[in-house]
Amino acid sequence: MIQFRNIRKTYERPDRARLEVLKDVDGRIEEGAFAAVVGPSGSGKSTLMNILGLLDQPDSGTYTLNGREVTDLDPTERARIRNQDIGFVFQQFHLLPRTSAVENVTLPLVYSDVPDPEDRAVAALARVGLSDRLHHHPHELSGGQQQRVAIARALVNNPRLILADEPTGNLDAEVTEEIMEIFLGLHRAGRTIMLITHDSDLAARCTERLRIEDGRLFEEATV
Amino acid sequence: MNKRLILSGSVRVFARYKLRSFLMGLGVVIGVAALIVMRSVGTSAEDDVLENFNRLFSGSAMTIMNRAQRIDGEGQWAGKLTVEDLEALSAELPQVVDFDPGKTATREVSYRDVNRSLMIRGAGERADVVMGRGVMRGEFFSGSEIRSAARVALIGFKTAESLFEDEDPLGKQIEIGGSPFRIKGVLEEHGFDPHGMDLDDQVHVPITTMMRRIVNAQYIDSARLLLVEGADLEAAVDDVTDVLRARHELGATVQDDFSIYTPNQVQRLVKEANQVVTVYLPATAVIALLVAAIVIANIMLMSVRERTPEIGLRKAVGATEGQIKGQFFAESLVTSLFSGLIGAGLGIAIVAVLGMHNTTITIAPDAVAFGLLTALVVGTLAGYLPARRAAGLEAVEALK
Repeated sequence: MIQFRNIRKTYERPDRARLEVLKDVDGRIEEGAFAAVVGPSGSGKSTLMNILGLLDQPDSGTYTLNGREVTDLDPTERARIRNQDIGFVFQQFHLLPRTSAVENVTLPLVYSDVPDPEDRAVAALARVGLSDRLHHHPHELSGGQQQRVAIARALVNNPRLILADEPTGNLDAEVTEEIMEIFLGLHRAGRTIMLITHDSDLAARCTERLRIEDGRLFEEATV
Repeated sequence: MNKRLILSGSVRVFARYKLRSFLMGLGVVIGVAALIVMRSVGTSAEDDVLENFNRLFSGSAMTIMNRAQRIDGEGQWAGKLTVEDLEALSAELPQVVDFDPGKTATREVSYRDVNRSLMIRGAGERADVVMGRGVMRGEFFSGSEIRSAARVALIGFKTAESLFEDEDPLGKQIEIGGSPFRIKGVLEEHGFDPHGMDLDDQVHVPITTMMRRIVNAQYIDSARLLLVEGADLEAAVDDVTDVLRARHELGATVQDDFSIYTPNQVQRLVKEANQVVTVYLPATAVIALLVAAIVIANIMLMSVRERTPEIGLRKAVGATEGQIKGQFFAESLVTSLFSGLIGAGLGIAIVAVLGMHNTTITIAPDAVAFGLLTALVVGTLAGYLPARRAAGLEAVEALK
């Protein structure tokens, strides 16, 4: 499913010092895996996810997604892959303000051609248990509900890969469990999930764990 | 990409940011409305003036104006146009079929205890035909009245109302400059002349009476010549000029002591004079619309900054740079077009209200079309920079 080799990424800080975020990273995630990415803050977890999600480009290295080399694709083709094959879930939810749940979930379908976008959005919201909140605006929803809307948005185009960056970082324990249940359900349904988390309990429940430390990636033994 | 959702998304931005959209569009609303009102009032006034001019200068006719100023340094008054000049023109030039001399002065007019200062016009025997204005009641001047310089008068209907109220003015005696005149008739309604003079509040007397008894002058102010249908106006102007210069004994180096106006010239003069109202004033509205474009661009640039996470998210879920650009372009276009439509509605409504008070004011369709077109241009101009900035944002940076 995902295979990457020799990924390097360096940022230039405002003080001109160069910061090596990813130093020659290799790794692979199999189809259907539920992979946790753990590591201290600033270790490069989000940078790796952005590169794997085609939001960012590595300085060097190769990245194969679904058997296709995607490192050097043009921006339009990368946008199409993000739209069709990848679903993102962020820590800050990133819902559009003053916009209903259905419309938020419909957003990825604005950029693809499907016959009944609203019906699909309603179905996706049903899958995360929000059928009774279709027309609520984000400020009328709890944090857990907002994150569930965001998950529905990630699911609406039926992507094979879900990338979640600290999805429970802003949520309390009870809600975290609800969200984790949703991810586990998606995993059972066969979707490939990459979950960035600080929470070692959550990581322990994933099928594999990748640890990033000081820009290097280590695969931890499966329990 | 789903065009319906894109469009409904840019319309929904109105609902999401009501106050901002209102402020963004306000400039366009006002600009388009102002453009339509100014242009409509301007062209309506021009049409009105032209209609009056056409009545006076239409067809195969020309107007000769005596020069009122000195044209040389020797203390000689230039104007020497006389009724005899007109008779000579009529006799010598086959294309001149009719003429009417004109002379005006302001005099005190009184009836019983009502005193008014009014414009008195001396008119010839043929004035009803040549000037296109007869009487609606009573009788026009007869040939013998003109020849004998009779003390008879025709009055406008407003003069009749102001002097006589409900009384019948026919046959009544009024005083003009202290001398008695008998009223023969009430002139047909004629409205205002291009200078704003009320032609329905005047007194007409025979030209001979005017020259001998009221102003005691030798020269007339103006004259109107009727030419045969289809006459060559340019040639006629040359012929009339030759005859008048010869009669006035003007040397080869001396300027004409009269001016000749033909319908075409007058139309051109009126249009030139009206350009201030029909062109330059609406142009200020276009400048206002350009300012509106700057306002929209400004607010949209702020909006791009504020909506950076939204732009990042849209990119994350698969929007291409072109689609982001298109979205902000669409928002700018929808805002200004929608505002343009509101402005057009407002402008048309204002013109309609003005039209209720002044029936000559009608909507100028070209202004409506131009206003909407300008709104479109404003939207395009204003959307360009914000759209480019939004599309250029890096998704990773935008989502931070």
